[in-house]
Amino acid sequence: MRFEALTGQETKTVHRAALQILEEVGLHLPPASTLAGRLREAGLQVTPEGRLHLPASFIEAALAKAPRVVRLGGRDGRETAVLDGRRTFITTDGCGAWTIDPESGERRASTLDDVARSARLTDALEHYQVYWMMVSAGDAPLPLRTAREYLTAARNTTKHVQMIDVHRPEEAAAIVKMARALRESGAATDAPVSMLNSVVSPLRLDPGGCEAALAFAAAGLPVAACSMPIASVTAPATAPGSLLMSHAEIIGFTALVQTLYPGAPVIYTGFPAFADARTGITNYRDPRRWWAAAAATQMGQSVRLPVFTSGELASLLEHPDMLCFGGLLEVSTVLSFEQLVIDHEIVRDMLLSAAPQPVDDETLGVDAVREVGPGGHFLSRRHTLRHIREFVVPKFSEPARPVERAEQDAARGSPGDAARREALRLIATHAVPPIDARAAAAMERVADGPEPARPETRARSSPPAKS
Amino acid sequence: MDGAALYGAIRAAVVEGDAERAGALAGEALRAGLDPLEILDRGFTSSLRHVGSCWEKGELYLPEMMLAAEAVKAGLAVLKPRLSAAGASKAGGAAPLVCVMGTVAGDIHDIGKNIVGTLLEAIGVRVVDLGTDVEASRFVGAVREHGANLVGMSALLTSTMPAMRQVVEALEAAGLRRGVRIAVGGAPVTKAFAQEIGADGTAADGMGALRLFQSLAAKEVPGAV
Ligand code: B1M
Repeated sequence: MRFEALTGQETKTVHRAALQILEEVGLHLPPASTLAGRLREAGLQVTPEGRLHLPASFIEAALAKAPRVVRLGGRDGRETAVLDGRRTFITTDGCGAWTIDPESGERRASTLDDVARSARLTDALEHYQVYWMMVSAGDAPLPLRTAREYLTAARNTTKHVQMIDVHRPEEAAAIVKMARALRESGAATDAPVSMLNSVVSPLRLDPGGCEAALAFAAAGLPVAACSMPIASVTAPATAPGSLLMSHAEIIGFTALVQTLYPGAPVIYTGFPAFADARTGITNYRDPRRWWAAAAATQMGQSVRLPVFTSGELASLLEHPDMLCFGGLLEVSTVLSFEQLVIDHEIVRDMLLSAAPQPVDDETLGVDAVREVGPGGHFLSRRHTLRHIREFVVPKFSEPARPVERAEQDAARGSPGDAARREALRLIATHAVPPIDARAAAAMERVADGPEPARPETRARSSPPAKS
Repeated sequence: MDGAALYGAIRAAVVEGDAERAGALAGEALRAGLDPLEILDRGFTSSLRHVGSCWEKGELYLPEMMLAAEAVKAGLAVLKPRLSAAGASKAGGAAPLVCVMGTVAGDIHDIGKNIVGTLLEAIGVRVVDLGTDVEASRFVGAVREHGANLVGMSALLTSTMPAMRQVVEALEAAGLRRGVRIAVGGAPVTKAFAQEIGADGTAADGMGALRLFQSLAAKEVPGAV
């Protein structure tokens, strides 16, 4: 199924406008930063005010160096998500400072234990292939927080982990070391971890985040080059305006990565968004977001990069390589375990709804119609038997059921309660193979940092989910 | 235009966010011999209050409020020389209000800070915006350099919230803490956190921030240092 948000001509118009912006307005970065120094060394001109004007020819040549296919590996060599345009892989949402405690229902600060449990739950949910760091663990000491988050996630899922709260080069260096340990042990064959870095809309580079991303690129670990402009706040107040800002920022940043590390794996990560008109906060419920995500997918495809977006159904119809959906509430600030279980069911349905339905003799079922004739039913036909397992049985959304069943279910709580029970069951019972012992030891050394390990952090790691 | 008509026109200009017209009307009101303080209060401040309350009721959207604030700022700029001449400070305090504002070290989020900064300017506070990723020493330096009596910090990352405490401590260490009122904000910042780090208050949104700063300013700020 294909839904065209943009015509071919419109795609070109947006791209041309983005090139014009990068050349005329340019990107800004602190002129005295290490990043500015590195770009100057690479032959780029950063003005004394910190402006970096990027000509169209430079952008096009740099983009041509980026690989079309990016491989996001699991930490044990299985489950590689190959971003080659043929399939959409789903990631969880991230990264919440708050968590709804699945036992008490209390809304509290997120912890390493929440990383452990959400990673384990994601591992158990088959339609998620990538674990986006779902929370920021407030109980892990800085500056080792992100290293401990990664180690905790890697212990609890074999799936690829994408870090989204790394924004300092030293944090990146620690995670690069851990990834190296996994690779050197032979456990991970492809990059087991990647990171996301956002351009600061409008048109500013965060030197810390960029340096962190460059450390990943230098190590061959994928970078999600991200832009999430908010229409009316950090981008023009229209859907195409938000799209334009995101496209300009992503290709600008990608070109810089390719200049310093030609061929480094970069994912075009476009999250053009809209403001809540009253508050300026991102509004996930603006329906134009779906158009914008679908259009961003087309823009990424037009520059031959693997694409990562959000925006649910509409963008799925455009076949992005990766789609972010699920598990967080309140504009991605609060983790809810039950929501992750419910969203997993929605993900399954979304994937199915966008799947092609081949039309042939078998699927038309003309023979079955002949057999049944007028009246009667199809329930006891072989044709039905062959296809009945393709049907979706809703577990957590409201199924139609007899009154008595509905009353019994109501007594057991809402569908949300059932999802919460399911989350706790999976966290308690789902087994995750341990990290290769040698790699784990090396990773622990990195995560412990120069200071001694904190006993209370380790105590929280009690089974089943390991922090 | 007589006084009432002028105040009506100022309100319309503010509500429509027409900075050019607001500035021109401020000049016209002065030329008509109206008292500068009264023009400020009846013309601009009351219009801003009206806009703020419409925003809080959900009748106005954020860009409309921001443009209204810009219009008030334009009017203030015209009135300012006459206000200073009259020795008047808008907030009624002894010293002019100067706020050093920034997003703390390691953090680049600035949308919330910019909203709060614009609204503060509209009530006559001189805002010294240090931008984003601001180290504690720069807050201290700016408070000293500009004689600030208010400090506003923003943080959006849980990992950068501790930097707010560092600013409070650095102001203490520099002997400047008693001379300033400190407000902190940003989505993850709570009242309990503000209290814990020794700040004077927090607010959840722009209008809340405006009220917070007004109440902090009214609390006998010792004045410029
Ligand atoms: C002085 O007195 C006062 C008083 C009141 C004050 C005040 C001061 N300051 C604010 N207020 C109050 O009044 C304001 C007006 O109503 C309000 O201000 P707010 O700032 O709260 O509200 C604004 C009007 C709108 N809100 C915002 O602007 C923030 C929205 C979210 C979506 C957000 C955005 C937009 C961005 N981000 Co960022 N971002 C998120 C945010 C998620 C969220 N739902 O909050 C958050 C905060 N980001 C996060 C992350 C991880 C990151 N971000 C990053 C980057 C960005 C963008 C550049 C894409 C963009 C910022 C653009 C810009 N110019 O600021 C990176 C940070 C880099 C760094 N060094 O800081 C990066 C690390 C991602 C990356 N890897 O690149 C998450 C933090 C997680 C955590 N645990 O802390 C996050 C919760 C998103 C998420 N779910 O993952 C009030 O808080």
